Amino acid sequence: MDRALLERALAMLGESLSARGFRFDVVVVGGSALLLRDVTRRPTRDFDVMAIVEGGVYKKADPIPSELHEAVRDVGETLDIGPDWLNGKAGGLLDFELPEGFKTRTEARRFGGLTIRIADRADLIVLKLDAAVSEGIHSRHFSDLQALKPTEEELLAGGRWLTTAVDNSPGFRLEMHQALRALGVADAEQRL
Amino acid sequence: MPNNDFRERVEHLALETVWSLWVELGVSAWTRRHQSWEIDLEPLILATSRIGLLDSRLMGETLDWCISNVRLISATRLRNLLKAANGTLDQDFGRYSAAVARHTHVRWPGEGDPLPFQPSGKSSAPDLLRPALVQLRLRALFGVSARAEILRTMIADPARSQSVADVSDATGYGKDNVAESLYLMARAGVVEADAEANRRRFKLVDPNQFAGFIGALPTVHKEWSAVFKIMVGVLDLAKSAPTGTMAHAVEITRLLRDLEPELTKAGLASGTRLATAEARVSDFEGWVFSAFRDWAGEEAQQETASEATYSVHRLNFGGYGPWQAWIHDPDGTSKPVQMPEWEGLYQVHPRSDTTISDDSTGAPRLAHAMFDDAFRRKSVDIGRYWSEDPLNHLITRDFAEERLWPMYPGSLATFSESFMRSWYEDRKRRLNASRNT
Repeated sequence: MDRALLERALAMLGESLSARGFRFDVVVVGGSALLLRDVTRRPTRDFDVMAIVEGGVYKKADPIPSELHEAVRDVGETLDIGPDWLNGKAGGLLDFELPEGFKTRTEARRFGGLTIRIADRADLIVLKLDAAVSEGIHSRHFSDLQALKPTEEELLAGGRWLTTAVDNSPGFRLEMHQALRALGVADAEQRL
Repeated sequence: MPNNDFRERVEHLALETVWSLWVELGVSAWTRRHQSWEIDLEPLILATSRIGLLDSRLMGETLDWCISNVRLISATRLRNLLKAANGTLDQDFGRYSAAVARHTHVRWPGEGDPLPFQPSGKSSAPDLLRPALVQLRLRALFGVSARAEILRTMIADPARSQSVADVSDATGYGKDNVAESLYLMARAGVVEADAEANRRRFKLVDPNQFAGFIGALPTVHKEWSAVFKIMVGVLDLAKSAPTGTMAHAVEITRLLRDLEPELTKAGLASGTRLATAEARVSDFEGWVFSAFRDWAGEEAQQETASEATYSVHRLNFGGYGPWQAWIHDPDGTSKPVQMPEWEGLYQVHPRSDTTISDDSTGAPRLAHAMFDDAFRRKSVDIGRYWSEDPLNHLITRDFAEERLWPMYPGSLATFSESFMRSWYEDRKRRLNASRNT
């Protein structure tokens, strides 16, 4: 999906949810968040929902609530973009602590019965850095991270948080050094 | 945007369909469009309990008919078909059922306050000789039973071997009941079974002989149970469609997915590959109009207006009834059915190029002339009456037996070209099926 098709799908989903008498509030990360923030024009296969927001509380989006899942499937078939174009596979991110202030930095947009909260650029850098460390410099996450044009300080801040709050294992730290070096951060081992 | 015009049109077509089917059964009204369509009574009753809410006269007249003819109706099928409707008709049918119960001693499924109605007594007893009423004719012969429904299903598609599950699904009777009936019918030599991958499949031993015994058969077969479920689903959507076009398109997608089994049964699944996004709405509406017009018999009626018809007159020569037949073209011109090779053969009896003698080959030759003309209009050559393949000979003789010879001297019958073609095709299918057995 390019950005136009993604926005169209979201508008259709919001209108459909509203017609069926449902409202959902979701947090989006990943490639679709980059598209909606105009960071990249690379089409995305799916809309990565990390959390369902209920009363201000983030709840894991995997599995997606059945009413939302049915509407997503119907919209997917109507637009011929597949039944799982919006999914909760990114829900696993909630197994770890989110960067401090994540919730307050999201940008909310409303499509009828659907509210989406797009992760902030700084938080996307952290999440993409985490994914890039895991999947390597040839992954799409690495190119997404480059498209975000992070400064050395933003990368180092993300690296520090990931290697302390998320995974403080020596192996992960070593992978992080290599990823940061590949992203052009000089003396990553010392500065992290 | 909600389309009130769409809603009005589909409601009108649904009512036209249901009215016309009931008229065939003897309900008091005028329009008959389904003379050659096989009618399936219980799905019609269930659908009427919902569609009749749009027309109180339809509701009243059909209740009147049901009360008068309750012994021809299968409560078992009503129960099973209602269960298969997954609760969508419970409330409406409950009220219909209660209204019938108030005036009869039968107990149909469903509960509710009876619909208000006074029997009018206008409905006439169904004419069981009508081709459309083969189901009721079979019930008159074999009782309101699984056996009658099994025979109806098998006569409609004699070439197809069917498993117990297939027959159960098609008849609306439970598998145990169907299995027991098929077992006894096989012992009686009416059906035969073959095993395919450890699954027994059944078909009629001699469909042609059986069809001849049953009498005039309909030429159009519809899975009415599936058709009515689709119809009611579309009517519900038309009534409650969301105001936004995008949401409307999504609801169409949902409806088509929910109705997928019925669309497959009704032979419409391939027609529902609709445009994407908002364009789906207008595409769907066009598809619905086409399907609804077909079910209402309007397509056939429009087609009939632009096609040739054949009128056959059985002359009254004092106990001797030769034939004269005319071809009426859509432009209003008419010409006699001619058999030039006969001219001069018979001088004593009236057998000329236009007057066809009432002997053993006259009526079949006349039938062949009409079939031949009807197919030539579609650039199809069916071949000569006598040829190496006896198919034409057999088909035309069947037509003579069913449609021509029963005519009283002095009577007139009219057939449309599409009727002639579909009758020929249907009989050809049956004969080929019996040849393959």
